[in-house]
Amino acid sequence: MKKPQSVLLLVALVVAMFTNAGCVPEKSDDAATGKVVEYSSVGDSNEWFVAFARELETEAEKRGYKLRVRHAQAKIEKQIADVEDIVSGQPDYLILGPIDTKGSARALNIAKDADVPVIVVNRDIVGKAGEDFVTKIYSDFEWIGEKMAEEIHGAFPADAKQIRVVELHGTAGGGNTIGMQSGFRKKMAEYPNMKIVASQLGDFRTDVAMTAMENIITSGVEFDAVVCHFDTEAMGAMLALKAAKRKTGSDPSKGEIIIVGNGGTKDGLKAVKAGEYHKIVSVTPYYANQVFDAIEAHASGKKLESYIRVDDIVIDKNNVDEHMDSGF
Amino acid sequence: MPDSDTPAKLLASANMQHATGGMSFVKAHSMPFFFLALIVLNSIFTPSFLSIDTLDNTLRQAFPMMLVALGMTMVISSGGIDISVGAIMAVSAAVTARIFALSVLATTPVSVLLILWMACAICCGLLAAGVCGLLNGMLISKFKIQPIIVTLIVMFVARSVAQMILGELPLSLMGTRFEDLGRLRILGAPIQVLIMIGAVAAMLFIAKKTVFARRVEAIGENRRAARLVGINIFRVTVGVYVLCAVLCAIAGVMEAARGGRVDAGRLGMFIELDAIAAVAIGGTAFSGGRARILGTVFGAVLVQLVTVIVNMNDISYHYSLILKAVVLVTAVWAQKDK
Amino acid sequence: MGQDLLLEMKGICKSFPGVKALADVDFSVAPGDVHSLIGENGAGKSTLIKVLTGIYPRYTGEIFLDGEYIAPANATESQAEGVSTIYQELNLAPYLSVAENIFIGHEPRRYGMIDWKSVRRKAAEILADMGVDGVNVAKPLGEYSVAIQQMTAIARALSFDARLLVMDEPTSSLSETEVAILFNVIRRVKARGASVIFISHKMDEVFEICDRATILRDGKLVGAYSMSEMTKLKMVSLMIGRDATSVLHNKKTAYVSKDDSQTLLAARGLQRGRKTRQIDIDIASGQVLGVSGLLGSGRTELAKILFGDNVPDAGRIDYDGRQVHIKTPRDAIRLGMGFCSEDRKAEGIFPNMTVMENMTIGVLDDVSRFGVMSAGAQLKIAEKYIEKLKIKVSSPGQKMRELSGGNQQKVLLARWLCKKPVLMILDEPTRGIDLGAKSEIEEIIAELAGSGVAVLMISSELEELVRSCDRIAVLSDGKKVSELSGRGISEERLVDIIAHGADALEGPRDA
Repeated sequence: MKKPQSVLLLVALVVAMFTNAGCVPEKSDDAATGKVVEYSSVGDSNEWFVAFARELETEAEKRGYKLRVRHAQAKIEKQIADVEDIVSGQPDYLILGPIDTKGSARALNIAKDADVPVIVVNRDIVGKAGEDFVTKIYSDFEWIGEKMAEEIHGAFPADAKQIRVVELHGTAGGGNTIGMQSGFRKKMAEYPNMKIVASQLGDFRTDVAMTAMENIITSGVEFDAVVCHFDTEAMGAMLALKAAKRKTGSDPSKGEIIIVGNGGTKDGLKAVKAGEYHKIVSVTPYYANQVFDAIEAHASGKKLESYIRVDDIVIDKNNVDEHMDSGF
Repeated sequence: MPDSDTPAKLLASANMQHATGGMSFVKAHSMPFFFLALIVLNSIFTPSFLSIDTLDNTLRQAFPMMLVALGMTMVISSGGIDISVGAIMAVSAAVTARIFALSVLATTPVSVLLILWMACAICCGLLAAGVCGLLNGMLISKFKIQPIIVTLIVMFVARSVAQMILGELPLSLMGTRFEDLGRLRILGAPIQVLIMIGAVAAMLFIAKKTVFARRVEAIGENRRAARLVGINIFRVTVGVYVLCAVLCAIAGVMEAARGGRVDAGRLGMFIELDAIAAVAIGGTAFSGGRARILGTVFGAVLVQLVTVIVNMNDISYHYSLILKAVVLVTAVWAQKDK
Repeated sequence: MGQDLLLEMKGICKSFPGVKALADVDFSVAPGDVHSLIGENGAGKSTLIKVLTGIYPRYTGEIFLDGEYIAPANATESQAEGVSTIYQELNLAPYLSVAENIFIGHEPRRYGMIDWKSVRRKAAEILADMGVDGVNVAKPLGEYSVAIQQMTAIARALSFDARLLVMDEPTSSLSETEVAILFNVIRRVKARGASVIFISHKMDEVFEICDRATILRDGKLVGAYSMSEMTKLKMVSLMIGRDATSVLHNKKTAYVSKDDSQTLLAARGLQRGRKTRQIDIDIASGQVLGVSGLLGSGRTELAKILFGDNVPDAGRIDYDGRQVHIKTPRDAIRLGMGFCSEDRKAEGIFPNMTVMENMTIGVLDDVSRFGVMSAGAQLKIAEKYIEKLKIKVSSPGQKMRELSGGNQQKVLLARWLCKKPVLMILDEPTRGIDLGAKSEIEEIIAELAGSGVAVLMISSELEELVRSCDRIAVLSDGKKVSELSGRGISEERLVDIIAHGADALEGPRDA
């Protein structure tokens, strides 16, 4: 009985490996003799990460780098193993998208021991810039949180008596969730008429957000706006509100619920264009140029900032058309 | 000699059968009483708890977990466990959505052709799930590998296949008729609730009346004895896992319709945990044996009710986990005391 | 008592639901004695040991160790008293070193830390003292043979300053040379003044190593004997209880069936591993074929091959005149066979299912239409057999586990009877069953044969076999050593054949 069991496990492992690798188009036939850059991705099947990896690949090709991507499938152990693999090949640079702020710090040590410089992307990591890694580049979620508060406030007349907000937050404990929550609250403190009436888990998932929204509506809590930590949550909120015959849009005087979220997905942009989704504060995956600029600056010996902020923008009805193609 | 069957214990169980006091009635039906207590308590402190909307929400939201848990009940009754349920949901949703989206019919108004196309797509999804169930059952009974290992393998494979089918990105069904399916109501009753009633009735019938369920139970109770009375363990085991997979498929397809999108990496993720909790609350023994379908129904509604209560009272996520643990522990304790 | 006794157990009683496992048993061991505890399976040996070692803390009676009253409440406590048990399945840690295995849990300490040096030194000392050499105590135990592992277990017991060592079938997985080593160790242990309780089914070993023997039968004490006054023949007859019977001899003729009955199953040269060796057997319709032999002689293995639970390595089975290949129990059932296992609990009952469900599990296809069961049809079957076999239940809906052993066995018989079998294989059908139910089951078997069913019945109870069987095959060490039939059947003959094993083949005894 032992044998078929181990054979099966082997088959499963091979299948698993095959499917991991299958997600990434390899570009080994690229004749460019440029530098080798490896990217260890969080590798979630999330639109954002997919778009970010694609953008990196395009930018690498444009600049004549050889880029290889490894998806860690949101598992810390796999990321560590990936990085061990990567540094053994002595690439010129490692682009690291940490799965976890603390957990992925081990990857930094591995790269440091092998003298491979690291550019941290996507989110924060424990460690010192200039020592453990070259620099970190990602969106500023505190800023995004502040911006979302600002945009909700701006949707209401200045003399609005009260702005009651429902918050559908992302995965609890995640760095981006915490950043957006604290930025939002910091800004909200400036608006005495604005308050959060419910804050529930949306988990970055449409179904979870939809469930939460349905139950909040049923509980009879009165609210004027919804803030979502990602487009998928906003979609869930809109579906629930639509089912409850509540209108969403940009005009509170018509009884429309104001929905502001973080994102920039195709579905999100479509909803903005349709007027159902008030505004999106983008969390753009399109900053590969900033990543490669940093690599080139470092290679030429320039001193870099310890944190490079990705410039995010606000997308609404007026500018949605020009961003339509960049939806991910 | 079975040391556990002491005379004292046998006597106690005999007494239990004859006792007819008020308290023992509560004890014998502790699960419904616990349930009732939860509802009474909430109707006091949860705003608008006693409303048809709450019922509507709870049942609709419990739908996918309920279907999965019904299948899981049979699997656990056979002495097995299936942790590939979430991945099977994803694979069937991916197949269905992919095929459905192939046709221009997807966004046209409702027509006979559209309904046929949709049915065809759903059948393909069910078929894909069936294959997963077949794989589970065959590996478990032919090679005698632990169910938890087999279904773990199938979980990885199914999840990967689902992602391969959809490519890298989640598939949006926004604006297609498929999305409408998720919001369909017949005479005011949500389609999820109607399917759920049908599924519960069917599973009650299967569990109580069919030869199949009796054999499943026998295998779960005593596998050796089941073999020696000539039960075809292979066929019954495959049947159990296929049945479970088909229920998962229905759940997966309806979840895709409800959310208007299929995210192969996320759909059905961790649903096995809730489903297993529902079965545990329902009182089906994890070592195998009688499948307690009604118990599972109670369990699934209870697990969902916790989320509803958390949402409606705006309990923060951190406390909600504790609340969930407390409710589940109490529920398991209540049903165990029988 | 008069002389100094190391262990004295007086009037020990222990009951389980429906069975009295030990009834007023006295047992004593003198210091420095190797004392054998003998009896067939179910005689009460292991129950007695479990009472002594604290695994069954609820018993009645008194236990004195070195004259001191003790009431062992758990295994640790009895170990502290100086009673150590070496089990059949060794509970040692293969990845720890030999020395660690010997001292785990009571390592010598220095300044609160384990003193590894002295652990190794003391371990080596104990082993040397036992006469075991060539063992590196720092090496993982798993690298050594089963025999050395057993020595380690004994060394561990000695490290507790055990005064009494209990060895339950210590030789079952040892080769002959290893057994010799073990016996040397036992002699050394004895020389140190410790006593040994030695349980084995192998008669030769008992005669070689033991000073005294206490014989149990059906939970009762038969007697304690000095080995010097014991013979193999005497021992087997005491174990089996020949003296208690002869009364019932004539009853048998009442239902001896016709001699011209047809052979239903003929097996030739059945072979499987070491447990079944070249067995030929014929089973005829309307006859009861008994299978006798000591435990481990291959009785159950033979039954499992015939029923398809195990597949033979070689041999041929003809059934109803044509060759058949029985690969699974389902194949056997299709041929009209039924099988009741000796282990009701593990291989027979569905404990939490009802009596009715247990009975009809094999005939579900007959009581259902399109896979949907008819409750009425099932109930009819259940009620019919509850009445017919006089099964004592509160209702057909009663849980199987609440029934006594005898009633459970009747339900299992009913399970097959309602399928109308052609051949019934019964492995120890009356084990662990009270006397009343026992005779009822014997009657059922007789009726079955009377109605033309072929029956193969395995039993450890010779009286029962003699009463019920038309022919009796005797197995020893996986081989069929003899077959008795008709007038040739008597308990004396059986005892004789069993006691002398294969020797009987060579002598002129074959009928």
